[in-house]
Amino acid sequence: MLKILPTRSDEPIFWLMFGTGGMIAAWVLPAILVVMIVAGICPPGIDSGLLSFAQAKAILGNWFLALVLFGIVFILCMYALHRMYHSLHDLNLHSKIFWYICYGGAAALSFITLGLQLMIYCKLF
Amino acid sequence: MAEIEKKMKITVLRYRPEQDDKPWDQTFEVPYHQGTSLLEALFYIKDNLEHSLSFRWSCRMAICGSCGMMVNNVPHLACKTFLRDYEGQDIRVEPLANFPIERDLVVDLSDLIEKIELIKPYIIPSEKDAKMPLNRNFKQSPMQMEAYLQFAQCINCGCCYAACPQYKLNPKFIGPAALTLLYRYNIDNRDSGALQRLPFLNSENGVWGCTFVGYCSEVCPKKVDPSSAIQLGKKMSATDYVIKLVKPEE
Amino acid sequence: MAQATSFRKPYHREVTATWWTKNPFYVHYMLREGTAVLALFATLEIILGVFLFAMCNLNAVAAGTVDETTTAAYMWWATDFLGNPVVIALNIVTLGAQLFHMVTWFNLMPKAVRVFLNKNSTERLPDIATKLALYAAALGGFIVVLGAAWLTK
Repeated sequence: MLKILPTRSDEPIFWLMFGTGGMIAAWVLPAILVVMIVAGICPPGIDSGLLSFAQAKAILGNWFLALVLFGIVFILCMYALHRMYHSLHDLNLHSKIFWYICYGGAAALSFITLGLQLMIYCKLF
Repeated sequence: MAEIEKKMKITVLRYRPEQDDKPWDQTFEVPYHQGTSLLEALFYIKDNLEHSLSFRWSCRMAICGSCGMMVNNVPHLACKTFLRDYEGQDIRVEPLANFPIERDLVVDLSDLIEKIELIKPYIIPSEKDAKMPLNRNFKQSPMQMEAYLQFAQCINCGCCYAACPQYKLNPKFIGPAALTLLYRYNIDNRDSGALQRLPFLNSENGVWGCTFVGYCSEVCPKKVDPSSAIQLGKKMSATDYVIKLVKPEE
Repeated sequence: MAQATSFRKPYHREVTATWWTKNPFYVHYMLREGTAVLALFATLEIILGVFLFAMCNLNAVAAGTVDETTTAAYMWWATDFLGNPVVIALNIVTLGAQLFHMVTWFNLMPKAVRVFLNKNSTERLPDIATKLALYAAALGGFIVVLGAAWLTK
């Protein structure tokens, strides 16, 4: 009996990123949200306060912190949109278009962030 | 018997292919006591109330895997389900979800059987081992046995397939029981057939069809924990993927 | 010999998009997966902040000064946007959702870890050890991020 073997799935790449992102979301996202909530309740000034202009400059101008921030944004985009892509399937919505929207969207958001961060880092005031 | 006889309402989803276009409900009142299982209640219905009711059963002791059915929307073995646990409620019995209904509570499990067959659920010895004289045994340490033993307890009842939304949404998904057996044989130290099974593990309908809902492990009557085997299978598949990426020969 | 007549007519039950509403376990699963939407929302907030900072930075470089006019866009994000009651409420809901994600994620993780304590025993690393390690790391992450935010303030 001749049986064609199924083709290998590329899901491992996305699954590994999803797994890392899920971990990062559990480890650092609550703290980031607390920072944003506190900044919302006590509005910062230009030079002082949580998420002030000066602080954003300090974070985005430091190569290490900027890299960490980009890593977090990239992996969270991949994690969230991977999970949403599978949720669409769970809601009985199946289409290859969703694949392009979700993973394309995650890639686009990451590239935009990378571009902005490079732009800031290379020519910081 | 001194015990006062209690009664319970049991609704059964009926389907008779020769006369019905779609399934319909039929309710029965069944007497029960402390030790009445759902399977015995179905015997009572068939013997006394509705002779044409069809359902599968064999061992009555949770080892043959014949009497899987939906009890109040949860997959159970009828022989392992006791009416006393549903006291004060009514019971609704339906054939196992996600499988075609053949008749009344009987479903067509051929898809499950074919998938289990597909992944070669038997030990494939290495060439050297295959030539071993029959009076010699394979060696296996207690740890090597412990690694797969839990996953080898499957009785092919189909409860995990009825619990799996991914199988519901995509019937091509190889599914919990078959993927668990695949993993179980791949990690057995007496087996050398891993390469023959990996293509199924690695495919879109293999472990990658699973989103870790985890309900299969919840309903498994033998505590096999298929969702754990599938997660470990994902790690096995991802490792294989990375190795093939670095060393793509063959 | 007479041909036997088959009455076989397997009935296929319909699959609806609302299958998950029928069982609390599935509802829990969909909520767990749904937390990803809010994770994306939080990420978009961060990206918006980075974008507005980049614009202000360009302004500041062009004007040669950091003052209220050149930083207006970023300050709108940091004060008006994050300070908007709707956004604060959404952020609090997102925080709750992420904590729910954390608990469900850590609860499932031991299933993907099957480690034997040593090769001569059949004893496995207990599930609780995996979970405790994950929660310890989460606490560590929480302290490090908050600490970094406060120190660079």
